[in-house]
Amino acid sequence: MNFEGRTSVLSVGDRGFSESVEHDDIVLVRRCQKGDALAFEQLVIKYRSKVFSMIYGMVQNEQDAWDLAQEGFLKAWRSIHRFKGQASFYTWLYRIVTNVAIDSLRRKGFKKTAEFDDEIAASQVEPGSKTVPQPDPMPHQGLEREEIRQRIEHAISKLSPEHRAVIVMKEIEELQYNEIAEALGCSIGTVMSRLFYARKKLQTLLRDVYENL
Amino acid sequence: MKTFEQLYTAWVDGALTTEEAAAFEKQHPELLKERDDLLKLKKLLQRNLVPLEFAHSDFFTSKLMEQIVPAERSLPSWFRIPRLAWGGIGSFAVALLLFLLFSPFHKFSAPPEYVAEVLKTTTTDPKIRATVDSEKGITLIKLDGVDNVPDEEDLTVSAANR
Repeated sequence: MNFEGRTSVLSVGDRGFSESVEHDDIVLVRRCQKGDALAFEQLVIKYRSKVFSMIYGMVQNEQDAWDLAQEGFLKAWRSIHRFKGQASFYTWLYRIVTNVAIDSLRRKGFKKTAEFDDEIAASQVEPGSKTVPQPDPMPHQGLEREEIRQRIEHAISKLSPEHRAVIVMKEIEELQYNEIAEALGCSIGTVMSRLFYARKKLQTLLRDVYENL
Repeated sequence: MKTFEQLYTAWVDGALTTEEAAAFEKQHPELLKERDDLLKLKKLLQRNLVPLEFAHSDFFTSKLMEQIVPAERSLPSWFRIPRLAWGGIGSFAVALLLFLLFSPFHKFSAPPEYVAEVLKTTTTDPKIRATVDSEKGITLIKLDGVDNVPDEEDLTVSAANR
């Protein structure tokens, strides 16, 4: 099985970015690198919703997401001359804004709870073992949609910044492993390991929710 | 070689080939129930965590571009000359103005204008001595050495008409 994913055509979820879209982005980036702010504005308009959505998924606060999205785009503008075209512009941008969001979470003093540490060697985890402690039984018949959303957001807030990032990118943004790896600056194997432990954590926190749906 | 976590993740996401998936399931049959749980979790997340609607996106862009291109955006294009060029033009203009105001040639180019003009000059007569006494509210000026007024002088005519 090839974990590397496709390399010639990047995809975002089930919606594929055609090569012409990538080409359009490259043309705009080249203009940006010559100081054309209007070209950058076009890129902002194109990707602002995705960027905002991704950051909001991580920080769970609309105002913070706004500020961090601004910060992310500013950083992208100031370092646009460093874009070499080895990855798509969107992936490159994603990496910048993801780091901005992760840094913000770290600055706010994310408190590590007893979550799964993906540094733990694989040999220490028995397949099929009781790695998912059974939660206390809670009545959740007929939860309203808003309550469910709050429960999910609360559960995601319990994840580390890195685990939040992979969950948001995989489950919400529907990125491929290689795209997540490029955005986070890590290997595909690391992405998959983080997904494993992030999902385990969410299973513990949300079992009563998804089992009653 | 892929770790268990990586294989498990790929298996849940359907990223394994049919053969790989079959081999994994054969090796870990106890995980089938867990995979069902995880698929329910995925469905829960995807259904409830839809991307937040980005309200005021145009305002967002506007505020961002203000930081990227602060003052230049409000100026007409002809004014967006590099600041260095405008600085040079401005410095030259100031230097020229100072030169025109304070250059040595400027002093002789127009006749000087005086505020005050001397109409008449006189010298004091060494024979005449003036003294001033102030006593009892009266100021007395004594002039010694003044020639006597001739007898034929008509004192009734004012000095201005003489």
